[in-house]
Amino acid sequence: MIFIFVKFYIAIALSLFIPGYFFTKLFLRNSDSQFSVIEKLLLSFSFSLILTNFLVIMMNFLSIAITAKSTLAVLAGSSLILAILSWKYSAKQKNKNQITSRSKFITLRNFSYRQMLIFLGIILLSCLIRTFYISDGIVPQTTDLGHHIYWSKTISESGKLPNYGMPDFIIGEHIIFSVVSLISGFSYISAMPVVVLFLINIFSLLAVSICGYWLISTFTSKKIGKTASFFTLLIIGTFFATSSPQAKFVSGGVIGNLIGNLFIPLAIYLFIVAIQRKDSNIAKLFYICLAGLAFTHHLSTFIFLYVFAGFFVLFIALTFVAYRFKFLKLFEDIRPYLLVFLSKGNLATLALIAGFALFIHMPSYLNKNAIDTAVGAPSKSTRVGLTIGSIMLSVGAWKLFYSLLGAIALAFTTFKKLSKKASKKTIPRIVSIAFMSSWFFTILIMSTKPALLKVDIISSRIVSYITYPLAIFSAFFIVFVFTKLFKKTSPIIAQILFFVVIGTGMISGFADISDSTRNNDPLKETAVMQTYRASQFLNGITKENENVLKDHIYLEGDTWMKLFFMKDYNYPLSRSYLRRYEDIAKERETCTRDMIAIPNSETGEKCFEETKVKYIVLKNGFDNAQFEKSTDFSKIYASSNVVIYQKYDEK
Amino acid sequence: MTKNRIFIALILLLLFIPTTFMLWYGEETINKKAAGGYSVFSFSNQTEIVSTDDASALDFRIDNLDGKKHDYTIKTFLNKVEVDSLEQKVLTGESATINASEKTKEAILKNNQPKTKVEYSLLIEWGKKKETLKKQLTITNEK
Repeated sequence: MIFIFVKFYIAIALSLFIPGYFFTKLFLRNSDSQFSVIEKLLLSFSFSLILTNFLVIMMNFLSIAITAKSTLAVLAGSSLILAILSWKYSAKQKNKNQITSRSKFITLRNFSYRQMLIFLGIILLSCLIRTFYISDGIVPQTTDLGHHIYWSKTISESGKLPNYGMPDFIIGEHIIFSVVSLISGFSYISAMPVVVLFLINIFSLLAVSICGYWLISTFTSKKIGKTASFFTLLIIGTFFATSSPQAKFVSGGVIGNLIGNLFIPLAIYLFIVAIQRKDSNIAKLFYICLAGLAFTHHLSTFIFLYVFAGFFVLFIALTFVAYRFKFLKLFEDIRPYLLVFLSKGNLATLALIAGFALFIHMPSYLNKNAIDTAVGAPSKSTRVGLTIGSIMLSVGAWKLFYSLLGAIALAFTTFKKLSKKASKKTIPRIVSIAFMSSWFFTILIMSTKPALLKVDIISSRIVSYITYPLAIFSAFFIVFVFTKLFKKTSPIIAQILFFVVIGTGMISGFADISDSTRNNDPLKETAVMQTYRASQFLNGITKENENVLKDHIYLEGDTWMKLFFMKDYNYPLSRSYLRRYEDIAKERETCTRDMIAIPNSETGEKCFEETKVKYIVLKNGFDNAQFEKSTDFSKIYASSNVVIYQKYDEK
Repeated sequence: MTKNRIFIALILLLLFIPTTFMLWYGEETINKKAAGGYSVFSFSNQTEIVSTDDASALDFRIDNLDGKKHDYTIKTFLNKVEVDSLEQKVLTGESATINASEKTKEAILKNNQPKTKVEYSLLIEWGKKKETLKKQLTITNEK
């Protein structure tokens, strides 16, 4: 037991910490000392994840079998090469010139002991809430996770990357689980997948907190930025911590969203830092981060592109106002920043990324059909947008209320900043204000009025992305107002008001946690394990040309059954929720429904012949009567939760 | 150690504790839930043919994962008519493969014409619980 745990942490270190540490050290050699330890930790984690994905894709491209030994060798070897390179370059850099003055840039360095304690306390509380939530239902059983883990297991078993044949899955969602499972030896039917997702979620909290610091401090001050980053961490980490897209997504296995929610704030953070420091190496990291996002999740990439487009529009509008339409001066001031992103090295990086996508591995969703499905007028009632009331229910009334107040405070600050004469700091300030506003308002419009932006995606999925900017806006409001209040009113009044605001947040946020407690029925986990035992039994008896049909409506953990067969993503066949068979937009197959509902009818018989289904797996006592009565079926397996029927073969 | 190193070490420790707990708790729960609280009944093979030489299609298996030993009463039916009854003790965590009695085999093979279809069913009772298994069988003379 201890050995497998040790191997797990070796796998985590090699895939989620070490390569990214040396990789970012290599890129940040000019400004390494300007980054705080938390930023370095976040960059190490995120870029390790990106590098692990790209290295495994390269292995597949070079026809190197993806096995425990090969991945271990590639990850360890790459880390070693990066370590040597970063050591060599940083030594050279030190000889060339001593590190530039530390006070030159805005930084998130120099935490006092008190700040460290507060930070660690928030992280501790965030971890505790999530751990209790996830542990209550630790037996893997959720639908999304089951679908994703099938592909990870496919990689482990076949030694190569799968050909999905559908745009719903992207390779970056699956590689990390394969690598951790291969190196550690942890089974996929274990807590391993949710533990990896838990780590990704915790690092996304760090990402949004750091991003909040940079966004806010750029147009206010370091002190306000730092305080706001603590409040952002508190709000995102502890209030509403179990609702989507947080612990609920971790235990549900919504992998793409979770990784997207790490990479989106990270990309914004890198963009702002690159602008602030006019550092083209950080701009390179920004591009690589976007590539990592694109190879991981289509919806997150899509959301980021919309947010970026919104930023661009806002940026143009605000700069025109700030520069009073003096385009020459504006161009002169923008030019150095443009060069940061369009330097030769960066254009080469973009070309490399494009080459990687074109010649080595193209993300499965980059085809006309998939893009047409996501862009255009909303095609279903679930895609026409949510009401503010629904959004309030989804993200929490407290957070929405204070973030809207934060938006008003931001508008006030923007007006104040833009009314001054343009200076050297104007462009970075406008960039921060525009990005912060776009992150919030673009997603808000995408969720409430998708038709305006030609978005044809399920609105409830989009709205889960608004949680992170809302946390930054709420934190900004609290810090903006209370910094002034503590200065201008009596401390007692300010303190009372502060505790009212934070207290209501805690009540609202923790009540949400209490409401969403899973109250997991221990019998349900036993039922899940019975489904897995029945799957093992079936896997031992099914022959090559025999198909299996299982019931998704009542069976617990049925999505994970495919992991016991490993024959195909659609094996065994599944009887879905009945509403899914009634689709006026397109004709749906109905055999999976009819073979269970009317197995002895002419339609049922025809379906059995077409699909070659021989075994039917049902929950005991649910839709069993027709099979119990029929003389065409044997009941070959029974436990308190699962029964298996075998179609009688007259031959 | 510098302040920053202590800070990083504490963050990593804060991550190490819940991840280790969840992994350990996950393993414990999965093993516990997989092996407790129910009995499993299944046919030993999926053959649907019974002949004088091979009556293995009638054999079945009981897995007792209930956490306590049980005396299972098994009643055998042919076309819904009871032909035999027997008792089988299975200790907790153990399995038992039960071969059909001579009485059952005789009832199937002697009372049915070759190529006829017979429904062979089992009613298993233990404590206050009961479960059934059934199999559609074809009788054959072929060896």
